[in-house]
Amino acid sequence: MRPQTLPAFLVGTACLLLSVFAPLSARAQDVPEGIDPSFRITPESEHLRGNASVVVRLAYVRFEVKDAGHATEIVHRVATVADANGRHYGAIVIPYDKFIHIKSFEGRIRDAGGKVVRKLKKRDIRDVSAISGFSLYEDNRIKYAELVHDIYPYTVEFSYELERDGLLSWPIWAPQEDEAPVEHAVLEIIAPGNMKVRYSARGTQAQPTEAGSSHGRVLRWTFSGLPEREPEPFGPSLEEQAPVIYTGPSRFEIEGTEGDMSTWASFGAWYAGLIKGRDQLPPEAVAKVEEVVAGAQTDLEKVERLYRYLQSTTRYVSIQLGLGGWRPYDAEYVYRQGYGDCKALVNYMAALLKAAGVLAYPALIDNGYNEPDVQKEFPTNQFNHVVLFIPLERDTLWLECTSQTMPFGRVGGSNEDRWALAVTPEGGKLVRTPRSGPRDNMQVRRGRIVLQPDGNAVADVRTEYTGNAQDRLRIALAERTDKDRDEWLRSELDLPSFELLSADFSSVDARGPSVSLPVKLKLGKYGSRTGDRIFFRPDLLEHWTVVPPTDEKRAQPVVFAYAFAAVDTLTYELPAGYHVEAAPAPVKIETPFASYVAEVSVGDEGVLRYIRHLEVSETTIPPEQYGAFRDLATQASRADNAQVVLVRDNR
Amino acid sequence: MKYCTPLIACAILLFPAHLLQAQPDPIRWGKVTEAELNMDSFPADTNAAAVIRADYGTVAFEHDWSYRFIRHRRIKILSQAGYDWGTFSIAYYAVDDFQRVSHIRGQTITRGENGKPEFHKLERSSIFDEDIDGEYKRVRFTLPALEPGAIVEYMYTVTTESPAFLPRWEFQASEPTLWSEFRPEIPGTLAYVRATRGTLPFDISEKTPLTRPYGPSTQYRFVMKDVPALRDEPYMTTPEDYRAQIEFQLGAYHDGQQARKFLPTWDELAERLMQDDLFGGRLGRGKAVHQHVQTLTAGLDDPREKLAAIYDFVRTSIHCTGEPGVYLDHELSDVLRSKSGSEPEVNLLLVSMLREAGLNANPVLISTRSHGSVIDVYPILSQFNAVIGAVRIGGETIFLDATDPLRPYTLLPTDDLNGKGWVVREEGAAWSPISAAGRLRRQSLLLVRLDSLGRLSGNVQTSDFEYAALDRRSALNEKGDEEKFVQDVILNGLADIQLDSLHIEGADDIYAPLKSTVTFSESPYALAAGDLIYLNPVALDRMAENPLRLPERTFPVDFAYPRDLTYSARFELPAGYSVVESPHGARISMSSGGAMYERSVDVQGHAINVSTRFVIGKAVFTAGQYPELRKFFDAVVAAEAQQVVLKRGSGEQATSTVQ
Repeated sequence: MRPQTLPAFLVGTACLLLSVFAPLSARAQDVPEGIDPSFRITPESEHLRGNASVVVRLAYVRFEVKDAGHATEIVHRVATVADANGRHYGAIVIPYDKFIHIKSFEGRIRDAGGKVVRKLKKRDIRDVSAISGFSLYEDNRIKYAELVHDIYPYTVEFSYELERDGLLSWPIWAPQEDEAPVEHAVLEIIAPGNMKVRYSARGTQAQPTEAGSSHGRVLRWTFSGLPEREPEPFGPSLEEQAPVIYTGPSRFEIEGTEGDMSTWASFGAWYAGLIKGRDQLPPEAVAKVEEVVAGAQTDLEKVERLYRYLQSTTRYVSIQLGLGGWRPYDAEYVYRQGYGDCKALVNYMAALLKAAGVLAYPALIDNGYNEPDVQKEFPTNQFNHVVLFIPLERDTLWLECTSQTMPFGRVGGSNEDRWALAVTPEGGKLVRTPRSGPRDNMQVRRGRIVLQPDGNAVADVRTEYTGNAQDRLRIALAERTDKDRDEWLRSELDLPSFELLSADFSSVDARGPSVSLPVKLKLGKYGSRTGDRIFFRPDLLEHWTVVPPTDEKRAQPVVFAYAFAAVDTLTYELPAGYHVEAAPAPVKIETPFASYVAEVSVGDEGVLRYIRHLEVSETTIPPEQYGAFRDLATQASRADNAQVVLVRDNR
Repeated sequence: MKYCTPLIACAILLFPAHLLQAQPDPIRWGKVTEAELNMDSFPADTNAAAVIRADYGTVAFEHDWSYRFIRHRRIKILSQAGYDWGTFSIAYYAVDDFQRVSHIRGQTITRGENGKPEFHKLERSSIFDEDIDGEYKRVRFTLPALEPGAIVEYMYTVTTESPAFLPRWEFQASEPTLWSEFRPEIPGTLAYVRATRGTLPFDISEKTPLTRPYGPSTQYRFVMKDVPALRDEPYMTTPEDYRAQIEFQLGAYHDGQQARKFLPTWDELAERLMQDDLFGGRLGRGKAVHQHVQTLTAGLDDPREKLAAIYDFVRTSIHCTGEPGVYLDHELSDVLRSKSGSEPEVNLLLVSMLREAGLNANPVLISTRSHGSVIDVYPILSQFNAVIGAVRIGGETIFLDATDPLRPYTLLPTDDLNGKGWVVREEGAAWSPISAAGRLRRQSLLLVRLDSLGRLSGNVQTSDFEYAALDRRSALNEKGDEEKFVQDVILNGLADIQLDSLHIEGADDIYAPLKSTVTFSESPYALAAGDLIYLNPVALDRMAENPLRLPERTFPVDFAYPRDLTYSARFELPAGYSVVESPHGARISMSSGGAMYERSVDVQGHAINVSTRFVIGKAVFTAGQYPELRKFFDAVVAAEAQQVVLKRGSGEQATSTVQ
């Protein structure tokens, strides 16, 4: 499926480029009523800008629907740039593909008084292929241009008009796309009077005004005077927190297909129609399935065997063409070629399972860590990925079909704890993927370190990873060469100086539920000697490093990608003739969202034990808890840096 | 991109070239041996994820001096990590059909259940042709049915309309290559110069005279066997400098009447470039340039003042889009109008304006560090990927690159520092060495009072010069906030600072050092335990980890420019405490020179004075010096970890003990 990092209304769609540079229609230059079209700088706009380098003067989208498959979209974007750091606002990118025809594209620079000093020329516009890094082929392209000036402040203005032929998405619109303050933002949806317009919002209570016009019904959302926003450390991205207006049709048409997205059931039914009949396997593939599942006792065992078979005989290759962004290659193609993208591999896996008598359904999902959850009450396309949903009798299974190394039954951290649209022959229904807790994502380390009188040390450390912690390791290391693994490990070890004596990566390839990584290290001068004393840091490998600043007015939550726990238990053998002069006092912090413990205990026989336990149990920490979070970070960082001091025994 | 096509009209039919070849082809389509099929590891290089069994390229000319390049490649895939070798792309210049890609074949050969080879063909529908930007296109395909142990092979033809140069042949890849052969057949009417890179010898290098309908020709044959993989290493300029490869550039041709030179001499090339409107043809001319220079240099007489005025105008007024290259896409008047230009446009505008101001300025062609070194024997323009400027004032040459608004004219960006550049003049173009005209230089001073809880109160003063100032100005600009900059950059290593005041000087004057003064109070730092306090006296820029993590390397380490960092600190001790133990002075250096660290520690009554100096005196260290360099860093890390021990009421004399 087509990943949509850009607002959907920029991505979708249309036909031959007849004349891209047709004279701008009067309409694309339109500004909503009450706005000065010269965009001269005013005391109000300067006040709103404050210390920012940019103030957005107008963010205007006018989306005029002709029928279920056609629309015209006018975008008018104006920003005043106050210094060189705001120059990037002069760049504009218009993505397009076969469903979008760029009808006009204009730009100009105005001086502070609103006078046009320069216009965008045809030779300033570039038109290039835009295939995502992960794809073999896509039909996406972009046009881009950049306008800059050297007398500040100046105002840069772009307007363009798109014709869209094929409509799967209507605008998902953020009035404030980034941190810059916004003077005016307007979204207009214009639709024939008899057409149902659906909308919803996240992060705002704003309601549209409604009016009639010669083109039909006009719904208008207006925002003004939105102040500058600042990203806060450990906070969610600005994109996630920005107010968003979702709009969408009921009935839609795209490339000869039509559907209805007023309910999840009907939207799922459209997708079911797209994939219908694509699960036919050739006889030799069916025979192969029978061979693979022969003797399997349960459905679960069948699924596991076929998943292993899928992983060892296919790979992920993305090809996105037209509606191919949605319609998968058929199962036979994947069987013969041994590759496919997410939807093709899911469709193929479902076909293999069907041949083995197990029912499985594709499930559309919005993949990514910390993605805002699907707007449950507002059925529209909010997805960028497909996984496989298998409702077994006892349990529900989820399979990520694009990974050749994922342990069986894991859906993965970037798919967990969210709504997915399972596509059954009866239509679509939302199903929740499982959520993992801190104890599911563990990193457990045990080690023995022999410290010598000269400060050198030898460490024998074994770390066990499960859940998402295991994914991180496996993704970095599975099916890699020894050289790659060695380099990864060297960059991962946060130590002053070391020689890697040995490491055993064998469990990385095993596709088991956990990964175990034993390493043996020689640590040069791990203990620092001054005269009769040796100083060393008992926290060997796991350091909390970033302390967020104090912030009395914290407005955003702190977010983690997933809940996790990291436990280190280390034993130090101290050099003969030395005893502990000073050791850090135990640290123990408990909060509703996380806990941290670090403890050094001195045993007999010249042995010192160190225990560190960090557990983050909530992925979102509310802003009112920021102080407590900062306190935990400060104390943990201090404790992780604390030292043990050894001193030579009196002779 | 520019091509010169010598025109010649003759109409002799081409005789199928392969019938005349002196040697059989090293591989044949689909013919795999049982051993090849069964091979599942490569003991000679256990890191190999794939092995290139054979890479075979031929070039055959037509009567009109267009030529066909045919490539046949066969790769054994050993593990999933080698699947990338199953996907391939061919970029080509498509304007006016200058190049065409045809006859694409591909197949995957796997071992069937009975041990016999099974063939999986690349389907036409799986071959894609991408229009990159209206000039270049790219054919992309991926082969079916990959599995560990599979063999993939593909073959394609690229037809090129001009003989100006042949495809560059690389004998070495990031995986081992068992057989790499390039076999160009050159008509007697064409004479090429060739350039080879890398240190590996040819196993076969021979030529065979042949007779073609179009006349005599020579078939060359260059073979390398068992070529090791070339893999990237950190702190290396670019692997391209070391890759075994061969390039052909047309030197001369015979047009039927007489021999004509095609490849110019360096002087001729310079002359040609300086007449070319897309390079030097319009330097120092044009109304817009004239008017701007008039305004900028009005009342200025000193050439350095003129240089500064013009450089600063270009640096701040002309936005650099970051597009690389050596030619102009727009006229300089257009660049001035749009206030925006590619890298060559920005620098050629600079040269043009300096010339207009009466300065002795010239463009300089360079190959950047990431692009590789230049072979100066052959005037082959494609070796260069960037253009900067040079100005001569009072016997001194200053190299100029105005693409970064934060960089003073006295410094070049790291990527430009690749040894040398070719100064292009109408007459007397010449190579000139280019090395960093500056260092990364910093002075830090810490004056603090330590209290009995281990907290520090006092101030920090830092002065950054040259590359250090450039780095920190960029950081300040990126942070966009002085306090964040001070906390994260200036005070790195001091985690918990309670700031009282901060002052930054020279943030906007990029020719001045960047200075900062920070005062703070009661900020936790040293470890206080009972009657003891343990204090690390290196509180700023401490080298906590050795940056050289690999035990050995095969290529030089390149720091780009020298470094010189000094640190001085004075700690006033809390009342009633005295020094029990303290590290003493130290000096660490490399026997082969190039790096030095020294430290002095001085205990004076109730204060400790510490100073350190860290110097990397040169930019490049050979692979042979690497182990010693790594040890040097280890020793510095160990020295900077050492601590001072203070004790309350001990009355002991300060002792400075031997380690």
